Amino acid sequence: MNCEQFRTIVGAEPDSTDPDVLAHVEHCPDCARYREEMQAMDRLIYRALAIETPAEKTTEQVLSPPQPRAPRLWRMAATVLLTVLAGMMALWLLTPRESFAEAAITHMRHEQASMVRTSETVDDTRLEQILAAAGLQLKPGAARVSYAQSCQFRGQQIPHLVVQTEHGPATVLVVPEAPAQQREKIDEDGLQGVIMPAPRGVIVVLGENMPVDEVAHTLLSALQY
Amino acid sequence: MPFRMDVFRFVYWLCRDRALAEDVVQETMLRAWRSLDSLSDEKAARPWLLTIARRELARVFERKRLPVVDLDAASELDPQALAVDDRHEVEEMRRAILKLDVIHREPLVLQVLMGYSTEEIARHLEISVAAVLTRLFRARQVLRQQMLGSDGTQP
Repeated sequence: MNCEQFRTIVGAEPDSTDPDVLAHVEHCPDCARYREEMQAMDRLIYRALAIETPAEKTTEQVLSPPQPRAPRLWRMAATVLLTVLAGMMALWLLTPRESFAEAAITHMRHEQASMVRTSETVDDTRLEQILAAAGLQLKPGAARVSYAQSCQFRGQQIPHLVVQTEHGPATVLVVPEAPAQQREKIDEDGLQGVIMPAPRGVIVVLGENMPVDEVAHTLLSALQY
Repeated sequence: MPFRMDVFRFVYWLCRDRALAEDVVQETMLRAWRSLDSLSDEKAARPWLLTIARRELARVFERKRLPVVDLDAASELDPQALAVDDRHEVEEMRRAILKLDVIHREPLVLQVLMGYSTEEIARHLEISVAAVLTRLFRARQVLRQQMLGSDGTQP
């Protein structure tokens, strides 16, 4: 190992325990000093990164009396919140139940964090268990499933999957118990989707800027009911 | 909640905005709680939380155009965020880290603050180990140059 190679490694990992790095330190004082400088800089970086967090309040801060205006503000905020909640509840009671498509979108939004482009896939055993709970099987290798949950949807447990496609992630809700219906297209707030009749119930595919019909057909041919 | 402090610091150093970091941490903990059954190994809790936080922050960035972070404001006008140590060197280093590109800042935070190995960083960022080493090397080179340039002495 020459000095340049040493400095490349130590520049990325100052605490490297690579035997070649340690051996080089023994006979090269300049590089040994460089390593010490990098380690000292790392200690400084650590101190710089270790910022105070909200949870680190001191005892005095915790025990100190609140600001004079705070209680009044909190009461006002609570009043506004209760009024809004009461209004929302009244509105909910007076509004007809949301459509199947709306329920699917709401459900997807609830688990929005699953809609990420990733190369990670869920464990095969877990996927099998979730699908088996709904009496389903997926042909091995038919889709790259990055998220799988057994979710409550309209009074039943359904498999909620996220499938990675070349166009990005697609949410798939496999709803075994649903009234027979024709294919229904969804287009709302930049979200495309389709509700497709399945051997049992329907399958819902939702995604952004992607051929949802193609994804639905692929899954329907891969799912065994 | 264990690891909340780690998650906050990780998010802060990605977004450089304390208020946003607090929001993201709150949402991260909520999402983590909802999907707790997907955590198969308790020992993997911290990387699991950091991954959720990273996704949540990405979601925020995707959904709304965030204001440009004023680095002077981030390092000077928010003493609560940064005033853990009043030593000049630490403050200078914070300023230098705030100026790093996020692709260099994130692996550095994971390595130095979180104690991640190079392989763990590669898995977290979904890039190769070689790419991680390059980014870490580059990050330290930039910081070293800035620190040397700021007062003419070595750190």
